[in-house]
Amino acid sequence: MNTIVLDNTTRASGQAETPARVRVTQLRKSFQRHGGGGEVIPVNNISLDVAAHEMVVLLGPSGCGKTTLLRCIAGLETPERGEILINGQTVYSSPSGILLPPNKRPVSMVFQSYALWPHMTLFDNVAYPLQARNVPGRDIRQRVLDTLEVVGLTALAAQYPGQISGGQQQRVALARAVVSQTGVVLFDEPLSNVDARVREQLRLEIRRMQKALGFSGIYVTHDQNEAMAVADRIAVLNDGHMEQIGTPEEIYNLPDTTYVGSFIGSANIWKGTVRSMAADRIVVGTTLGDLVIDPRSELMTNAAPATPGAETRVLVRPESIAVHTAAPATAVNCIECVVDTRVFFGSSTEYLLIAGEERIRVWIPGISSVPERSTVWLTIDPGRLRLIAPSIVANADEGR
Amino acid sequence: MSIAQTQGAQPTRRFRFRVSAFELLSIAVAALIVFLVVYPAVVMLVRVFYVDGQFNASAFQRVASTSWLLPTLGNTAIAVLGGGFVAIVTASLFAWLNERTDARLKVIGDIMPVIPLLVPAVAMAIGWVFLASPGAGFINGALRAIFGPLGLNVQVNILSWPGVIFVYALYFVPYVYLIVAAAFRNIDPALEEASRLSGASMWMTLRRVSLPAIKPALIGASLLIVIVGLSLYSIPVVIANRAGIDILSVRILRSLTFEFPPRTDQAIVLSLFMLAAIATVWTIQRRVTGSGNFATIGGKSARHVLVELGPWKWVARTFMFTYILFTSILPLAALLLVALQPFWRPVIDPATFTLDNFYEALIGRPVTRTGLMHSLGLGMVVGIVGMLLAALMALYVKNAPRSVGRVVDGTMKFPAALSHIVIAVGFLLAFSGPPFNLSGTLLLLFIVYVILHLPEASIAATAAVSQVGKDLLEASETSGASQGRTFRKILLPLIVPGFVSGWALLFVLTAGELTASSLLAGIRNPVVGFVLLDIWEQGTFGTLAALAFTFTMITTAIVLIATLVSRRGFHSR
Repeated sequence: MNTIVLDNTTRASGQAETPARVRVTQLRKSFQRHGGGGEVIPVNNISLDVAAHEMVVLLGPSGCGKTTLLRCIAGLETPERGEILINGQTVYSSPSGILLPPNKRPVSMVFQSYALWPHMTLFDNVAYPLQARNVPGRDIRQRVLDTLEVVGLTALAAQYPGQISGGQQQRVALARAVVSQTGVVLFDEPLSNVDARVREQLRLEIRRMQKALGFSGIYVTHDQNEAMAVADRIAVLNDGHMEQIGTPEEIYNLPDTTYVGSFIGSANIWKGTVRSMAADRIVVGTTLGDLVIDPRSELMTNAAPATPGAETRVLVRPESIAVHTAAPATAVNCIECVVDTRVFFGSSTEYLLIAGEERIRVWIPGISSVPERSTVWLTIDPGRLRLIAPSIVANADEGR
Repeated sequence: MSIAQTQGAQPTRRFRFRVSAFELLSIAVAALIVFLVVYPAVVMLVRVFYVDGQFNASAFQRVASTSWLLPTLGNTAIAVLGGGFVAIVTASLFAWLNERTDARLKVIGDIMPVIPLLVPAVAMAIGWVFLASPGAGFINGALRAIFGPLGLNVQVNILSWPGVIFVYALYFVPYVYLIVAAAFRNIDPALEEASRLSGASMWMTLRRVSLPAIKPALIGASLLIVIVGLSLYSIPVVIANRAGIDILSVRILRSLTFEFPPRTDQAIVLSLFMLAAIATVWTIQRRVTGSGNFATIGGKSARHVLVELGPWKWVARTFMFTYILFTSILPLAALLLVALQPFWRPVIDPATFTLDNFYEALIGRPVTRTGLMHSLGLGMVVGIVGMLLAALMALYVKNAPRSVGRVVDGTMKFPAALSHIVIAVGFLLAFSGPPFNLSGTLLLLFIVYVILHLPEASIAATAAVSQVGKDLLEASETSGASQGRTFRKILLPLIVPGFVSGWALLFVLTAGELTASSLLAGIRNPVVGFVLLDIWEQGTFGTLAALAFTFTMITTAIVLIATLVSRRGFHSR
């Protein structure tokens, strides 16, 4: 079916030599809920390196701590422990008691609300960071015009933010963030206020600008498509913890935990017990029966360790399952089910199948028309199954 | 996370903060404000309780043994409570009419809150003396012309108990209206609709559902009135005093200005009485509004279905217009008439009109002219300085740790809990003599005006600052701007509308200030409030009317211009 591309070697290789532009070490931030509702730890011992020219996306649902982490890096929130280095300069360190205010840190930020100043023209908005950083007046004009050129808004330089569209406003906010060439740009859900069409266009533009201007970025979003589109690496956050960090392909194909597996894309995740282990096959007993997994497959790279008799989780993506209307010849990973619902999506058809207590989601490319309530057989290639660990956060959402 | 781990994190929180110049400035300003508010109060207490280095409460005994103390306290209570009761009934009715019935008039809702600004209380009080004094009042002249031929003698007398309560009530109505109208706006209309659909009549709905829902607002308004009413000086000194009714605020100021040597200890003891009453009311108010006994009815308020009043609609509207007439148009007309007449008489004869009184008030009498100039100048400067300080503090409170923010915010609002009289007495004692020697200077007036109006400035500035999205300030910081630059280039320009209306408020309050002015101003540093009362005592009514009218026109113009300016928004599509 799908070809799996695992080019983590090419993307990761460049990072080893260049020093990190942003280095976050063992960062922690907590606060008390109002009214004595206990403690919340939005950033719980997070460490993160962002290389030069790299865009790292912090991905997670609302309340997972991604925005707090970003604001700690910007200096808008004060962490309680850990260390933050930007461009080799320590901007926060609890052991040595260093805390630089935001304006002393070599970072810029793009806000969800654009945060353009309504009393200034677009030109003045973009010129502001240069004025604040004491760039000589004669250089400012040219740099502002050059930057507005990059976002294609030179003609509107004399307009006020209230006079242009939301998409244009966010372009100005981008220009304002890159004009002072701080080398590190922080993005706080920059596209969640623009409509879907503009959003797709803008995220390509952000990517293009980042490649052209060569800044490092940290980008917060809860939208996995957006994360996939702009990221060199994605850090999946869950309740203040970092569950996994890797390229979009790694995150999708090789999730470490149930949380990552179910948050990125759709996944069928089943609980099971390892029955036997051999060099070429692992057998896991589940409520669907015994499943055979090929440990040599690419999908088993860095998979959760299997110990005979131990409990484990099996993950399979909906597009990796084949559906047959007649009993297939093979008995390996073949499960008899009933079609519960069928939804046509255009490029694919989704079936929700029921086998015993389990509900299984399957995507078939193109049009497929197996009637609801009919009996079908599904098969899964042993090379398309992956063993994963339960999420480190106890209450994490397992299998959606 | 366990508690032990949280505590383990504590020691690492001690940072070598590099305090920026902007923060230093903010802290210095906050400290100065605390000093200026607290120091006079301390001096007052020391003056009255420590005689020759020993604790001594004999000042209390001397005041308690006077024959006038109980009547004065009783009179004050009757005036405030009587006027307050009338005002609460009237203003609640206005609020209901304007929020719930088809008699609603946008102009009433717009003008009600600003009436005290458009027409200073002292001008309204003097206007009513001209309108309804026995014999010479214009209304009495008109009544004689109407009823005289019928052989009836119908007269009104503002210089009486009913008159005092009437003018107090006129003065209180806007305060009550603001609070009660807001409460009506915030009630979920479904509560009232449910009552109507349960078969209840309009009156039953009002009695059983609407009124209970606004009960906290009514309690809050009553308490506010007690605080405002106790400190009120203009109406007592102009009307009650002439009616032979002794009011506490007048008694305090007269102890210091009309007696020689000044009875300082008596003024302080009476101030403490006033303070004790205010503190009691303040505490009750905090407990009532802080109890959470009533639902805060927030969210987007839905459209209310308006009650149709039928023919009563016009009765209701006439009633509301009458109020506007009584508080602004009639008193101002009376001031203008007296100002244009060679001498005050209850007959309107345009042939005798002259501008002599205006000449006398604005040019002829140097003290009057200087007083007007001083007041307008002080109003402008106090407006700017007060709003700058308040904006600085609002930003500081927004960024500072919560506990520090509360202290600063509390200090800014503290003068409202004292009364103008108490603060003025405190300033007189603390700053007129050595080591400051500010007696008779404009600087003393400037400082006391700023302190007196900090609460209003703070409310205006906090409202303006809170409307500026946090993002806009953070975007400036992450653009590399210092806090000072963020304040000057981002915050100040963005709060211009709120700043202008706050400035206008401070201007009007300062220029028309009466209480502290009558105590701290003099021939060397005259201001309008001082001059008005001075002429009032001399009884040259023409000049008084001309000055009061001119002054009211100036403040009205400033308020209207400021309202227009502050409604201008930023560029938008």
